[in-house]
Amino acid sequence: MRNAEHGNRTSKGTLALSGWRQLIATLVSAAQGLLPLLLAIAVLLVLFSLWVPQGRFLRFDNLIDLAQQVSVNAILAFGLTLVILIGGIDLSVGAVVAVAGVVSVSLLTPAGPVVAFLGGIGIGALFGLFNGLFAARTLMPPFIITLATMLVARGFALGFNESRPLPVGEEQHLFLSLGNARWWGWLPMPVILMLVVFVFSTILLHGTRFGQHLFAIGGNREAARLAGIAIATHEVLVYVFCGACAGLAGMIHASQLYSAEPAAGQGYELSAIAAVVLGGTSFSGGVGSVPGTLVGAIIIGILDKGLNQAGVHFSLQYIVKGGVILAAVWYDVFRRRVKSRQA
Amino acid sequence: MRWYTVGVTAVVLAFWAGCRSTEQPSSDGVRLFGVSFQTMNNPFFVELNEGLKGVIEARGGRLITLDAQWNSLKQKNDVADLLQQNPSAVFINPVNWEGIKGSLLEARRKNVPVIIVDAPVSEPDLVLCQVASDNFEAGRLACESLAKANPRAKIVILHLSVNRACIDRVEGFKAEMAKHPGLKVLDIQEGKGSTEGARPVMRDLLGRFPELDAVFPINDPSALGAISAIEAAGRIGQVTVVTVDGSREGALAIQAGKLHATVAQFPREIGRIAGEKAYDHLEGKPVEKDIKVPVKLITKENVHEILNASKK
Amino acid sequence: MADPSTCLLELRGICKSFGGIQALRGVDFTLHEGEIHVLLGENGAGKSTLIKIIGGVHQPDAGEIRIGNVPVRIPNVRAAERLGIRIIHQELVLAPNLSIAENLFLGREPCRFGFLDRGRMFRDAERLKTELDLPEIGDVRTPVGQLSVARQQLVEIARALTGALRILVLDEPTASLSEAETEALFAKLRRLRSQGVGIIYISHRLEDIERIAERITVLRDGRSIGTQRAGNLDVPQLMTWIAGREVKDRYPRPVYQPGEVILSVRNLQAPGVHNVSFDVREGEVLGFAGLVGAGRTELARALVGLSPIYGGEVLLNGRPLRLRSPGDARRAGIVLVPEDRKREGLILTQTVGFNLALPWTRLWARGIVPNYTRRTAIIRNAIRNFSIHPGNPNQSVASLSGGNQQKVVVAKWMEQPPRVLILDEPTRGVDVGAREDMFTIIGQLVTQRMAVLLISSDLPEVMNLSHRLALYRDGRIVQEGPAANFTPEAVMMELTGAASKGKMAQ
Repeated sequence: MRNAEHGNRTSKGTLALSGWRQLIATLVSAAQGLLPLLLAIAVLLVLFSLWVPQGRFLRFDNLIDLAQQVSVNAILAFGLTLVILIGGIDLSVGAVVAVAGVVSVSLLTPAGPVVAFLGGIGIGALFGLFNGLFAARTLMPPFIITLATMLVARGFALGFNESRPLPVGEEQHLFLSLGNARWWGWLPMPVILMLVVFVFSTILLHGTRFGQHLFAIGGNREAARLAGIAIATHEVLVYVFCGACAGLAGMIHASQLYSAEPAAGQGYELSAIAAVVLGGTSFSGGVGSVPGTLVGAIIIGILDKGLNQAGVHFSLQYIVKGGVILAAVWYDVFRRRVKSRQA
Repeated sequence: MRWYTVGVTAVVLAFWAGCRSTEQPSSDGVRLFGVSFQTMNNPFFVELNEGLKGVIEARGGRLITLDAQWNSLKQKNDVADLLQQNPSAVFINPVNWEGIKGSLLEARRKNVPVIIVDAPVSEPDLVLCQVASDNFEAGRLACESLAKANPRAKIVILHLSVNRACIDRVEGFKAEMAKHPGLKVLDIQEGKGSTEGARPVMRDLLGRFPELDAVFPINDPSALGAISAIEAAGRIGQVTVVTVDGSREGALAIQAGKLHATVAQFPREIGRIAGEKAYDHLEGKPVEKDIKVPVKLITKENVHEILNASKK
Repeated sequence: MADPSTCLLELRGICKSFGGIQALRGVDFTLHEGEIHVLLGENGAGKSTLIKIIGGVHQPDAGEIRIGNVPVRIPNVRAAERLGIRIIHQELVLAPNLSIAENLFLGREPCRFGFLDRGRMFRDAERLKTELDLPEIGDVRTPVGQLSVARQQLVEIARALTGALRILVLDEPTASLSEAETEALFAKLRRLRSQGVGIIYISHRLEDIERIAERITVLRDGRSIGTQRAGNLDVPQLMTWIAGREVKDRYPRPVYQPGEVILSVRNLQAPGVHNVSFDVREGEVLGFAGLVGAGRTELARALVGLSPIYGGEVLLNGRPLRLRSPGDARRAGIVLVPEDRKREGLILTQTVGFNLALPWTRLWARGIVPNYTRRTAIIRNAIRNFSIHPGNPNQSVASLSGGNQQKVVVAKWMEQPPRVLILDEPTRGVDVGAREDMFTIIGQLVTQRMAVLLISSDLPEVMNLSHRLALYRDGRIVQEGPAANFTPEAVMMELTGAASKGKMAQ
């Protein structure tokens, strides 16, 4: 009797383990698709370690800096990954960064850091909800909807303080720690937040039924609909998540800069899209992964940092970055074609 | 599997290369400096950079120039990248004078002196010094020349209110206005400090205020945008334009009679002084906190000075 | 067999309209337990709307649905699934980026503590595969996009058979299945019937009906016209019900007056094509019989320059051709009417006229000002010669029935008729009337001395329409000769590979 109970428990345990093992296996197989990108990271690291004078590139604190610099773009890109995966797009994330910064900083003094934090996330989610409802309930293309919300959000941010930056008070230690604190003296808070969002969105997309449905919606909307999946609900939630990510990024941004700038975040949507696409998420939907996006964001970050430190003229930096994105996506398309031909 | 091997080898190689080179003496005798500009899409900063570079290279140093593209966070990251390279000093032309604080703290932690160019900061304690045009004076001079040309002017101002230098210009302008009761400000709008930003704003203002007959765009690029809007509205010659900058483009506009006056700043001079102050500090000499580089009113009478100077 | 008198599903006076267009005008329909009930009707007769109402995708405007004599509402797909209703749709509705297992459990994935349990999903999928006796599906981890159409269809069927099943609806399931696969499917349906499942089966193929149906109901213009028992089937009456008019001989074989050899293929090597040689003459229909996936589409693609030719020769009138693009093939006079007309044959977002005039821009859009008179003439000729209905050139081509869309795909090449026309599954998803029209068109083209390569998985069709027959298997022609020399049994043996296995056993 006792023995049986014991056996039962262990079998349950291994079952639970096997579920996790499956998630890991899924992620490993996704990571195998990322190998060329990881290799690209390795090549870039070698290149810049030789190029940047005195080997300063691979020093520990420089790499920590790199992680910190990647974090805002990566958080935006995680949210966008889900949106692009279901065949949508969100152009408003850059403007939402500004709105969330302005809203949370202006709530700091009257309402305290907790309300300010929730307000920043909330306003981002609100814009996401708006995007999502329009995308799910109307036939308007998300490109146009989010282009419009981008303008609305930007105007909202600019109108807040006569377009002037709102300084964060010296006494707001909690809020300032969002962007500037270092745990154990070396691990920056934005990196921790980035990792939290990373783990959350990885499990959400690759480990839950919800994520599974997103892949189905992106792959074949009609199939998903006929399988009884509530597409509208999923779509709205995805945009809300993306907006909330933008809200969090906006607060980190404001905290890092000790002020909320109404003009912040211009063009951030494009960097985030670049990270998502570099990471192998297909613009036509249904294919992609959150780890891929992280790798994409890191590649962009390495390029930014390495080219800066190697003293490459800023005009050339644009050209190099454009070239890398083009080459990476071209390679991805090429590889997929070869794969589908083999099948 | 083969991919794995190649990838792992590459990473190991990279770290080996990185570690090996750190063992080398950390200084090869060349002093490294860095400068981060809010934008390089303005001849003013290109000139300033030239002045800075001239001083540093003449003394055997090396200068890395970075463009923040009006993005505070990029500027913060750019400065962090510079600080990682152990520079002798960093020059910053901030996008947002509040937002630069984190970078200043970082520089202090790393013991790198910071010189702010062409803009004041809100935390003067954190910087070695600030080198800027006397922007208040520039705004004052612009207003004075406008009052002389048109004592009853109805004015609009094209502001760039996130920028401290521009705020100072507008304050100088307003301070001078107090002495000329005939002048009247109709409206203050954001002209974004750029030609393409100012043009549509000016076009709308011209439509809104038929009585408008003077404009103070806070720099040459936005003045050029305002002029093109005035031309398009067919009101050239009826609207007096005064501004601050003294770029070659501005001077040409004066020569063409489209711009009444610009207050010349001397960006090359700002760069040169900033560079020299940095070396002074490195050599242990004291450096004063607030360095104002004089400005000069440019009108049709003396415009040739600018044009001759910029021909070189 | 369960008691056939037990009424499982009853529909009474079902009406449905979409934006003023009345799709269903009062349909009555009953389905018994353990019955296979065939639903017949031309495209647009309302069959798809009806099954979407049963499946909870649409809501009826009027009428009553009863299941086991209890009135029910089916507000959504999930509700239908809870009632034990499963639908296999005509168009494949699978997510190509997901694996077989993930598609099987789409919308009802196994979870553990809120997390997806992929391990259980794959194990369940494997078990299901064995239970349903569908080993052909293959590894359940394979992405569905990499499967052939027929195997995707099997996945759809497997998906419908998961969970508690009482009513199964199949919308033209055999359209893309080979003979052997069809037989396997029928065996499964018979087994389900013996378990008391009620099956609604939609098809255009009379062969299917004769083999499997217990009762047949015909739908036309949104109304149920009549029901027959399979025991005393009256085919002419069925056809009249379907078309609303008399229908003649099912397969009119085109007149055979062969001319010179026009196209010779010698030892052709291309992706999926292994050493294929054949000749085809003017005024001849050469039929390519084979199972789905035998590689006939690959041959067609190589002949029109869509896939690279590695070796061998293609001769037109004895002169070797260079086929590096569809443009080369078209200039030589070889044209393909593709299998997937919606994806490859038409610009669905455009009008009938646009599609018909598109291949001939060099005739009507030369110079700066397009010659609209010429364009109109091209369109009018095509519509008239191929009796495309409705004949309005400004109508969106997507709104046409499958048969008329197919006519557009063929007609658009005929302004200057090609010399060799390749038809890849021309009657797939096409209703009875349009199918007949298609046969007539083939007859006309042959009398105009055109050579036709007919690829079809419908064995009676390809055997009866072709003058000569090439049996195709695994990218090769295994046997070739006059169509009259073949019997269906022998062809089937050859195509499934049973013949060669038999030889080896001897």
